[in-house]
Amino acid sequence: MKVIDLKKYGPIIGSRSVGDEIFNKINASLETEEKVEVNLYNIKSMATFCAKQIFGKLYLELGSEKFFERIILKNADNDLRTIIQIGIQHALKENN
Amino acid sequence: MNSINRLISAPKFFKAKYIIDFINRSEAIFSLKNKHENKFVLDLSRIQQCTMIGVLLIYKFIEFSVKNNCFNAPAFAMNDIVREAMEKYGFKPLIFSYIKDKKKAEREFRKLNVSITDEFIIAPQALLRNDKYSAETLNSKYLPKIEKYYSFDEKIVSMIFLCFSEVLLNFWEHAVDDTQSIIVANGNNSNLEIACADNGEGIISTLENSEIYTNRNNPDSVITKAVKKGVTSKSGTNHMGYGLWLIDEIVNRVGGRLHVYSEGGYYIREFGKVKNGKCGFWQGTIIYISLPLDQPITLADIEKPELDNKFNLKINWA
Repeated sequence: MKVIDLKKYGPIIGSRSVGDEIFNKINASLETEEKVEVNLYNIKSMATFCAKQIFGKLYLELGSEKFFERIILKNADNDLRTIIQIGIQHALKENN
Repeated sequence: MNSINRLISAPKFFKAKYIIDFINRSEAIFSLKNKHENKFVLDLSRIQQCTMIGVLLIYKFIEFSVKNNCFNAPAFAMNDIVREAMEKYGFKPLIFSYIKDKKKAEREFRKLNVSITDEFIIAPQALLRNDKYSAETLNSKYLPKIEKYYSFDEKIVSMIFLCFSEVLLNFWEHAVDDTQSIIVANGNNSNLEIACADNGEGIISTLENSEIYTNRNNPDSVITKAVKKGVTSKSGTNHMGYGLWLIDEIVNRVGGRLHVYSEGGYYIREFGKVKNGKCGFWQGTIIYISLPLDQPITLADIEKPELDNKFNLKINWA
C-alpha cells in the first residue's frame, strides 16, 4: 500500500494547481498499487473546489465500491470530512 | 475628466461602513488607463480614522493608477493618521514605493510581514500570480502564524481557514488579470477581519455567461444571486458555487459582517441583515469579512445534517 502524505500542502489546500498535483499523485499511485492511503494530517481546510477536483473526480473514476476499497483517507477531522463529502456529492450530482 | 475628478479624497472615517463612499469617489480611475492625466491629487489629509480595509483600498487605488499610467506626476496629500495606519498594517513601505519608485514596489511587496503581539495579529500577505512565492509563503509562514495565534480554539482555526481557503480560491481563479494583490487579516481573541481586493475580472464579468446573469444594469442583483448556494460561472467544471455562500452562511450564523463589491454592485450582510444595491464601478472584487470569535462554527455545523440525510457516500476514513 502506498502512503501519500499531504502535510507539505497544508494547512489549507486552496488552489487549482495544488489540487491538480495531488490528484495526479494519487491517480499515478493507483496504477501500481492496489490501495492508497492519503494522510491528511496537518490539512486544516480545503476549498470545496479542490475537494471536488481531487476526491470528486477519483470517486467518479473509480466508482463508490472501488473508491472505498482502494482509497483510505486518514487523519481527516470532521470539517475536512464534510468538505470532502461536499466535493464528492457535487461531482456525483453533476454526473447524473 | 472633469475638474471635480482631479481631486479624489477619502472618507473621513475610512472603515468598512464607508467603502461605498470611496468607490463612488474613485471609480474614474478605471477609465483612465494610459491617459497620463495631469494635475491629479489624492487627498488623504482629512482622514480621522483609517482601518485595515481603508489602507488596503488606498493601496489598490495607488497600485492601479501607477501601474496603468492613469496620471502624470500625481500629488498625494496625507496626514499622520494615514501614515500611522499604513505603518500599523504593514503597507507603508509598499505604498511609498509605488508613490516614489514603482520599480522597487515588487521588492517591497515580498517583504510584507505578519506582526503579532499578545493582543493582536496583523497579517498582510502578497498574492503574486504565477509565482511559487505566494503559495509557499502562505502555507509555510503566513497561515501557521495565524493558526498558532488562535491555537487556543481549534474550531476558530477551522472557521478562519475555511474562509481563507474560499477567498484565496476565488482570487486565484477569478482575478486572473491582477498579478499583484494582497490578502490581509487583522484580529484579536474576540474578532478577526479578513479583506482581499483585486482589480481582475469581477463577479459580474465572470458570471456573464451563466444563467443568473441578466445584464450589466443590474450588478446588485447578480452579486446577490452569486452569494446563493450552487451559483457558479463555470458549470461543468470543479467550480461549485459554494465559496461565497459558505462565507455568507458562516458570517450569518456568528453575527458577523460580509461585504462584497464588484463592478457597480454590492452585497452587504451585517449582523443578520442583508442589503444590496448599486454603487460606483470597482474593477475586480473587494471582499471584506468580520468574524466574531466567541461562538465559532464550521462547515460540519452547516452542512452535516444535509449530508447525513440525503447521501450515502462510501468513504474509508481509516
